Amino acid sequence: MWVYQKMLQYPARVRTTNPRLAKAVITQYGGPDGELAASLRYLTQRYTMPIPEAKAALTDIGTEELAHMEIVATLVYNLIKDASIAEIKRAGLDGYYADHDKALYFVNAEGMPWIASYIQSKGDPITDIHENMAAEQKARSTYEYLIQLSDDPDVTDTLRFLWQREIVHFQRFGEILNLLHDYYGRERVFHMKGWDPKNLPTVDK
Amino acid sequence: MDAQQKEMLLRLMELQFAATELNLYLDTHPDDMRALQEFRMRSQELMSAKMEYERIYGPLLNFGLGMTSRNSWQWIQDPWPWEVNWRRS
Amino acid sequence: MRRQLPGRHKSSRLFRDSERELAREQAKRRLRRRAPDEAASAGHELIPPAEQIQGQAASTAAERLDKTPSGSNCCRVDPEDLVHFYSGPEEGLKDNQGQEVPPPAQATQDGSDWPFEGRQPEAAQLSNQATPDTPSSLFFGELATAYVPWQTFGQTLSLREALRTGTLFPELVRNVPLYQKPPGT
Repeated sequence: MWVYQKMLQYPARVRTTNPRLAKAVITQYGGPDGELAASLRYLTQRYTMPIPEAKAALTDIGTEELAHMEIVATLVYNLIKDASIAEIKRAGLDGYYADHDKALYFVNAEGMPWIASYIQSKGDPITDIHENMAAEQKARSTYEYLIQLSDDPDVTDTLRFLWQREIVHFQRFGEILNLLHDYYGRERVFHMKGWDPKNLPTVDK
Repeated sequence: MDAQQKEMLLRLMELQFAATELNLYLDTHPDDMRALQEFRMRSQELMSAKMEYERIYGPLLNFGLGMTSRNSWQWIQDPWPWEVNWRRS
Repeated sequence: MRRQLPGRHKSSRLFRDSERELAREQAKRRLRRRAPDEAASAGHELIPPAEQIQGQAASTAAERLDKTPSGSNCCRVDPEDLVHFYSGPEEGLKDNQGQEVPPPAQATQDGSDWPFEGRQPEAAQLSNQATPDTPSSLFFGELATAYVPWQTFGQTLSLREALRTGTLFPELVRNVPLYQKPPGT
């Protein structure tokens, strides 16, 4: 069951009102590669995972994605909360304002509402983990594009934190994939005599 | 929110973040003794820092998991996390 | 009757060049096939016997070994040194229900099941061979299987640094953008 902690995971902040930036950033709230999609995807896949490590990792990462969703919401909220109607019009947020005022809603950068087709829960654990790894890469790329678009250093800093988290999540899902391969007895790994496949030496570049 | 509360909250964020990272690491490395030790240490620090914060500023967790409020139901009090102004000024 | 494909008229330059290329490739493959026994004798039950078609992987792997730049710090691995790390090398291939996976069908002589007249399907390659000429190929695995290297517990960043960066582990710290376009593109 879920419990809420009254504290953000990261001190998310914005420097100035910027509804135009908010229009882009909101895609990580309700867009195809955003945090809502990520968290629902992981939380719904965990029921049919065969190994406890997978169930734990999906639960924990899914919960963390909810925390990230809160951070993105904080950014969007603070970017538009003091915007005048003129600024909103200039940012092209007329349509959004008409439907939602300055409230938060699950849409992508173009205003398309969230849809369950953004996620998949295929049942096959290997397939699901690959979906999750792809999702982390998509989120990472989106954060890179948003960082390019951002002219607010505080927003950029917050986005970069979230960007780094996606890389760590990718690593965790990769490890779950390896564990699933173990589980299915498919670890046909060739390696040098005396080397431990879980601890291969690295080569200095 | 005054500067002192923000400082304490920032400290909590750091401890919470370390615990979260170690939690994720341990999910895929459940037998890693070093990580387990590190987690135990951070978890304890987090618990005591959290109790300290809650004692002064009210509960951080709902549904019975946070420290009980003194006279009024402090859980509802502002500011909520998205309203905290983290800029120094 | 064989259909004439556009641009493959005997007199066209493209056709002549590609024929030459094809002849070159076939000569190379003939040379490789003369010494496939080293690989087969390494004790890997998954490597098909030499009579079967070795397919593209073997020839390109051998070519890659030849193209290793001199003075690089990559090591050449003797197939004898490779350990077959497999849960049950004595058994055959099993699927995840524990059922034996039958070996792929042999190439049929008349190709009657095959849609294209005169074409024979090649025998499937069961595993890739050891081709250690770059650091990333010091680890080899099953084809069509992704693998992410294991993280081991090393140093951790300070609490303040960890929160600011976004991870506790310095080996996971990266810079934006993660993938840079090569210079000059």
